[in-house]
Amino acid sequence: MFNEKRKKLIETLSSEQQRDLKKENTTISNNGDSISQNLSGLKKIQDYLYEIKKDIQNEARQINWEKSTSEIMQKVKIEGDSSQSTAKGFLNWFFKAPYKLGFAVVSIIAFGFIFLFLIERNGPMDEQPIIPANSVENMENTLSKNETIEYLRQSSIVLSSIANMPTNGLDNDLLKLNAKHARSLLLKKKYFSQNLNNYELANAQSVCNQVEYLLYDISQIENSTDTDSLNNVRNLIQDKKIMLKIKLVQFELTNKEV
Amino acid sequence: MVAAINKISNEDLIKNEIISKVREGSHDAFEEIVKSYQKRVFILAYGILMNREDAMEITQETFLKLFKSLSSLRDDAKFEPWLFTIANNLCIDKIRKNKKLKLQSTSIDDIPEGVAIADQAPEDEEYQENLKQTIKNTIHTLPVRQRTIVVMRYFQELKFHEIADNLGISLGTVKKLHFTALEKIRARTLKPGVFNNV
Repeated sequence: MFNEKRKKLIETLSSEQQRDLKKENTTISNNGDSISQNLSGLKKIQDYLYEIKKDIQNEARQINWEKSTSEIMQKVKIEGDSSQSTAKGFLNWFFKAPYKLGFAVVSIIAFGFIFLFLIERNGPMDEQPIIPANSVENMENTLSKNETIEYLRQSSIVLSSIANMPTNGLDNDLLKLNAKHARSLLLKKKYFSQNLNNYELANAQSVCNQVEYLLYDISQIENSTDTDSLNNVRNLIQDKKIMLKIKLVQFELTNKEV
Repeated sequence: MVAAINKISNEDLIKNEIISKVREGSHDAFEEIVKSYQKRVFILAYGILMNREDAMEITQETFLKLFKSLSSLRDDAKFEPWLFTIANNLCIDKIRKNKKLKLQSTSIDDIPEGVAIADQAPEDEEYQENLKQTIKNTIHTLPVRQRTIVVMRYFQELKFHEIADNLGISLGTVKKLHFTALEKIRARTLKPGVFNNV
């Protein structure tokens, strides 16, 4: 009963809707010319769009696609390879096969058991961290100190060799050897110079800087004819009492708890 | 019919095999993909950006990005939509970033209505060229999504449902946006009745 009423209502509504649609259609059709014009306009726009497509295809024909392919492949080889080695790629590979996933789960469980077993056996871990926070800093300072002592020791050998060289009959080979040592020490200084920024190594830093200038001059002297430069370095070593300063700093660093 | 189905399924199989080889890191397989699709990607990018150099750049970037992200593609059947989505997104980024393009692009208000009519005869070659250029400029002023739909429909000759798949929107929306885009181009390009004489 209810369904019949519902059907009739739907039919009535549909017929009303259809009537409205027909009415609307007739009204629009009275203006048929403009509709056909609009349609023709749209059709022509579509034709022009296909024309533009031909232009683009012509543009595409002018491109050397083989060259483009090789360029892409080059970039892929350079950048793609590096991205493949990322952790993501590894995980993708690892979890791709089900047996690998199973292996991962079993491994995690096994590690868990081993971890629990060790805790049970050794008792709970101390709350205190194993390495105190300041010990890392101390370690770094000690390393810096040792590096500085070693640097000064090697520098003093080069400087004393230059200072004690006989004035007459300079040995070219010895000069070259000293210049080589000086260069390697300069390079070394470049790497550990930031360690000298520690305020407790302030004295050492000052002496190291003076030594660095001298080493630079020595690294430039490779010929016995360059006596002026050599004498200049010797005078500086003497006037500035560089050897004494090195000894004092070495003593300070060796006996001081940095 | 059966032969056609077989051909399609064979093509799909080959494509799937190539994709799985790329996933395993095969550069040769990836080169096959580049060769097969780079022209289509270029046409899409060129249609959207209307600039050859930018389109080439986008084409190369698309494949680079594709290679990096192909391992995360779960359904091989969606490879093409995936590829064109990458290209489309890169084009959108380019439009946003490229100030030069912004300067070059003409505002819709700058294009006088019915500009193509001018005083020239519709048969005139120059007239035809002007009209084409005006349509190109107008495409360039369309919102990016409408522009992409026009490009996919007319320059790549995709069907509406394929466009819907590629852009991840409903078929109805594609048709509506397509019609709106054409209406805009028509309104901005032609005076009503201009083709009566054509």
